[in-house]
Amino acid sequence: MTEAALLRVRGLDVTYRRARLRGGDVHAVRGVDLTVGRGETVGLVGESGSGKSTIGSAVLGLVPATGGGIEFDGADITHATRTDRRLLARRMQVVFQDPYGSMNPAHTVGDTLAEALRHNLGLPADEIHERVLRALDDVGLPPGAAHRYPAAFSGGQRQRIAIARALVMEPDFIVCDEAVSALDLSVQAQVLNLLARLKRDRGLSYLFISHDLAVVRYLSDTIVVLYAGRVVERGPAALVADHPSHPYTRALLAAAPVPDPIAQRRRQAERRLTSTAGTTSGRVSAGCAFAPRCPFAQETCWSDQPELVEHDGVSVACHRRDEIAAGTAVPLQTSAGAA
Amino acid sequence: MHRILFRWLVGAVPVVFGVTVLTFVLTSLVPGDPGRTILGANASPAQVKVLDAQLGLDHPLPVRYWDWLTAALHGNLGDSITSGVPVSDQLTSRLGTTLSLIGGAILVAAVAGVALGVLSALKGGWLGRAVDGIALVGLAVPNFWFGLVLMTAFAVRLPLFPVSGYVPFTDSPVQWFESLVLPVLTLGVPATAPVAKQTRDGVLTQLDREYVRVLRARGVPERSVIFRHVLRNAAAPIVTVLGVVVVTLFGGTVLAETLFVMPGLGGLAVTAAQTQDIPTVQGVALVFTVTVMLINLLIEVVYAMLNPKVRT
Amino acid sequence: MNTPTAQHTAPAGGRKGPRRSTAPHGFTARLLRKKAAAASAGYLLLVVLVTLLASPLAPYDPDEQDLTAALQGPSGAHWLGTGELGRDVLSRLMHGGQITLLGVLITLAVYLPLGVPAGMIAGYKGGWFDRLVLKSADLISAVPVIIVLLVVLSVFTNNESAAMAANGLLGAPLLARVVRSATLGVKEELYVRAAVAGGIRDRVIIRRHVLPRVTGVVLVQASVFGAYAVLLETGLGFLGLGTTKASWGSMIAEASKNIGTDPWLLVPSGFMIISFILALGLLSDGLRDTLAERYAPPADKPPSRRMGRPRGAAPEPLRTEVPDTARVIEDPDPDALLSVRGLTVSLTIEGTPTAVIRDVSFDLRSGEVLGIVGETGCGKTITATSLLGMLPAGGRIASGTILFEGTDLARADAATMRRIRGRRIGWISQDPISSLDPSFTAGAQVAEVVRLHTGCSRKQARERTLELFAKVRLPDPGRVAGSYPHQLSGGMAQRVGIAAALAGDPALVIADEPTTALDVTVQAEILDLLRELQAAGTAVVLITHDWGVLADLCDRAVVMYAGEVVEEAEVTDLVTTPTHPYTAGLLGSDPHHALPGQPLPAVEGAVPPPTQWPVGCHFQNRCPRVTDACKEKPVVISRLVELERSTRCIRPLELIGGPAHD
Repeated sequence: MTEAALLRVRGLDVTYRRARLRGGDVHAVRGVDLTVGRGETVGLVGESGSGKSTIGSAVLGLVPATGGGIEFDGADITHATRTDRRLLARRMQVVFQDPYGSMNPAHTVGDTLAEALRHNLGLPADEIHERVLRALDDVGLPPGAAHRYPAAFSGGQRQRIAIARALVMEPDFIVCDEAVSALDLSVQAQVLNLLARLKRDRGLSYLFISHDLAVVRYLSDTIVVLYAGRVVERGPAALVADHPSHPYTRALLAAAPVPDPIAQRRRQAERRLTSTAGTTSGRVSAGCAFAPRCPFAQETCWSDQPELVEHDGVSVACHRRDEIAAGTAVPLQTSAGAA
Repeated sequence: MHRILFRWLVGAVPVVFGVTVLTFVLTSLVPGDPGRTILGANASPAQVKVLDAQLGLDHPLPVRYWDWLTAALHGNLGDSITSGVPVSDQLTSRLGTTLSLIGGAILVAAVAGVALGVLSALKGGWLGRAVDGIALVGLAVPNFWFGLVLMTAFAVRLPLFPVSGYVPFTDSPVQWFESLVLPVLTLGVPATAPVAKQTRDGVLTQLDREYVRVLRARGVPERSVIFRHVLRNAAAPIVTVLGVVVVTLFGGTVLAETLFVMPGLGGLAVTAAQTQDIPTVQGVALVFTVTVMLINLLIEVVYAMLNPKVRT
Repeated sequence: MNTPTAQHTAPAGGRKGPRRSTAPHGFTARLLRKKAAAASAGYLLLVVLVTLLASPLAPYDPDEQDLTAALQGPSGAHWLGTGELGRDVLSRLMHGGQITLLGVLITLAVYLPLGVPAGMIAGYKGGWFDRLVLKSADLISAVPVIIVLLVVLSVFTNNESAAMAANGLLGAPLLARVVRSATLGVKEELYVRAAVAGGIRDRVIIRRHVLPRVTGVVLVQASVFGAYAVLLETGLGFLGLGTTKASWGSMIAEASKNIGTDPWLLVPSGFMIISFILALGLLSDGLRDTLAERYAPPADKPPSRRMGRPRGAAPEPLRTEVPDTARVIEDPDPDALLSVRGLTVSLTIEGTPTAVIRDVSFDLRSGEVLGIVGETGCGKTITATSLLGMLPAGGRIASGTILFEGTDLARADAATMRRIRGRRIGWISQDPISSLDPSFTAGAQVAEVVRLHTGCSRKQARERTLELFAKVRLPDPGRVAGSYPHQLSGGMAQRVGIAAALAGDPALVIADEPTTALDVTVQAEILDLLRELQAAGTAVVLITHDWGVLADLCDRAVVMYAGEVVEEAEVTDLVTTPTHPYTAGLLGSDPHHALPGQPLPAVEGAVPPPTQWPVGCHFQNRCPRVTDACKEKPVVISRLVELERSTRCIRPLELIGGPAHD
């Protein structure tokens, strides 16, 4: 997989500059490594502030990387110029979360889809027309949609249009930044099916960014879990989502309720055992960023930043990984309450 | 508070400096010769030259500016070319008139504007449209024309107030008040329009906010929702608009004081401009700018008091 | 170039089916459709033409004197009368306009070419140029412009062109500041980011996306500044600092000298100036509105929920009113804390009262948690707000009863509702941070509600607030009490919101998607808190779109679809054996049930808006089990025999055996 990697991110740092009065610079992403193989879908999961969207923006060149490197198909694109990006756009596209804001309301759908074909590829009009109709058909919209304005479409339809805009360029890689998060459940299922079909039929690769572990689990081959700008766990989707190793991933999984009251009651009891609520507050400068919320935190967790270590195909950044896996690590609260 | 003061200083000093440089450079372009203006057409070229040297006019521009600035910092703004009176004396004797006028006008604009704005936002319907209409017309009516209409109606036809002139407060408070009514209305009534509009828009925006809905859901009485919460949140932008209004009022005094023949700074500026009395023009520009800056500071402070995001 | 088409309409729901085109183009056509703007444009054009053609059109030479006819009112010979020296007012107005219009032209000729590019560059590129533009705008806005112009006029005596050019110069940084923020706004738009990611050149982005948006702002600013220039030019004319020729301003100066004898003179010149500026103002309002329409948010974005008190409007026939024969309404359950029966609520949509929820019935016992689940546009929130009598403006309860502790809230007066809100029924909002007043500390807001409901002293209220904060498990209650909403995290703000909802010790709390805006780990904590609340005996109505949240907290649930309750059951029964095809479809869409590599059993299409509800079952267009009978007449909700559940389907899914969803 690593041989044929399409996208390779190495030690990515993104720092937003901010006045010292307002809290100083923000380290949104710190030393992130990840790889997306050809035809692979990598899911980026994390809560608000985890830096997941920033990674997507850095890959797209919408925010500058302050450290590390990004390679696409073997070429370094970390500091790609606008001209490089023009060429890259033929292979790398994006679908944003907000289907309302991602289209200019004063342009027809056809015009929006044709924009990059006309102004980037410089295709002749008839080919543009043909490609636009084909893209609309691909996402299940009628040809007549091209003549209408975004306001005439529902949220789900607009998200289909956003996908069509990415598809017209015939890319091999698409960044999906919370692409289904704003959609209602039944529409979200439609769009997930569409993304899955496109992946299967065209061998597309996705960097799929979402806060919803269940959605990521459905679509991804590999899952990368982020906490406070760092990767805490990375591995095959089934392993990470069903048998998480890192205490944060475990907390994330335990916190997301499942649609089954009986199972949920059992999970509530389990979650209370590993609860992370309010153990300690405060920021960590040296150690693991999750230590203040971690039920397994010990002295080393506060002082040393854990390295991401691979074991059985899953990389985890946790000092106590093995103990937790073996069940010998005792969560803080149970030591008092469970006996 | 220290931060506001510091930020204000950082902003205000360059502005005052910039304005003085601007007026100085502009006035240095005046064709003709101040010495000639003072001495008249009959003076000999030699006499003019001597006077020019006395006035320091034979020095290059930066030197002259430096001289003026150092003198100005000591309160000496030079003498009027036309009357020979020190400019600073003229300014101090006239400042009270202008401040009374502006203070009255801003009071009218604030009180009437906020009241109208709140009423129209809450009642909606024809009252809302009326406020919109007044705001539109208020922006369209030249204040000198409005002043003339007031003068015709309430001084000429119905002699309720004096046609012109100004009586200092210290001479007679009653007459001071009477002499101010028409000029204050001349400036204040049109200035009501932007304040009312901002108030109306602000109150309507706040009424749309989630917290208003939640307050009502908690059973908080409507009176308290409006006056304790909505108005409080709508206040900060109103204060900003008042700040802009004050600046335009300073411009308005030029017209109003001329119209009502009041011995203020605006009227002084007009006469000085007509007679090319450069030191006086410079002095008025300086006083106006400094006053506006002080008012800006006041507004910053009030704004911070109203907005916890700025304060904390 | 553009073909103006059909009017702006609400969006169609389904993918197929007729949809009226919403075409926000044909800018000029749209502008001129506004009466005031069209009339203003016509009037301005007329004034400009008459002014330009003053020499051939004017009845007299502007300076022609007739001392025998000085200061006379309107007459056949002089339509607008005569001024000093018997000069014809009409002719002087026509000629005088040239001076004013020239002044406006000069001002704008300096103002626009300087301000627009500067603003666009500052906004798009940022950097030192941006700071320069902002600094100069700050400087200019602090200087009374007229003073600077007096300086200019003392240099260039009676040279009005110089003054007007200086005016444009002074205005340019202010224009640049406005253009800058408009540009910055467009630059932040997601569609510009999409264009950047699409490899589109800056040049093209500016032409296609930035310029069209900025143009409108510029037009509005130009007309406002033009109006200001008219005031300034006439003001200078009035002061006698402008030209010595006939002008609108100098005519007012002339009038001012004669107000004792001939006040009429004030009228023609005043009218000219006021009407001219008014027309400019109306035109710019029209421009602004037309632009706002063009970039309006899409019509199906949820409209802002403005709370109004229910209006006592006369009942009108509702769109999609249920025939009475179709309703089977049981009596309210006297044992229930809350018993809703046949609740129909209407809102005014496109001017027509339209039912947005219809025939909604459910019961809630003390200490129970009832979930209301469904997608956007199904009427969950309307149902909840109608319980508190806080429908949006134009909304009213058309029929039905809401029996709560023996009172029918559907018919309660305002005073009764106020006593119930907060004291008997608490409310928890969807958006924790914006549900708090940004100007007050968290503690002050909760204390206000405590005092309101208990009438205690300030000190007692403060203590009670800290107790409540401890109860909702806020760490460090004292510090939170002194914090402003913007200093709180979403989870903390929601705890404060819950504390406020509990301040009146209500029997029922309505929580409208209380965790939707929160991260999943914070959501779990808030759900725990709500569970504690329930354990302490408070009944909860929980609105959610998330099956997991429903399963976590609720005993019973109603599923809503397109304004109707389609199924009611114990949550366990509901998720294991749904009977309504919509319930089954919505459950199937949940990605928790998904198997990677296999398509999710998605329900095609979307929820129809209230204006497009079909006759018969609302779900018919999306239902895999639909028959002709489903389309004939409204489907009634029916109780399933011997089971504590009901469904609104004539072909319910089998309860025993078979998968829940096909």
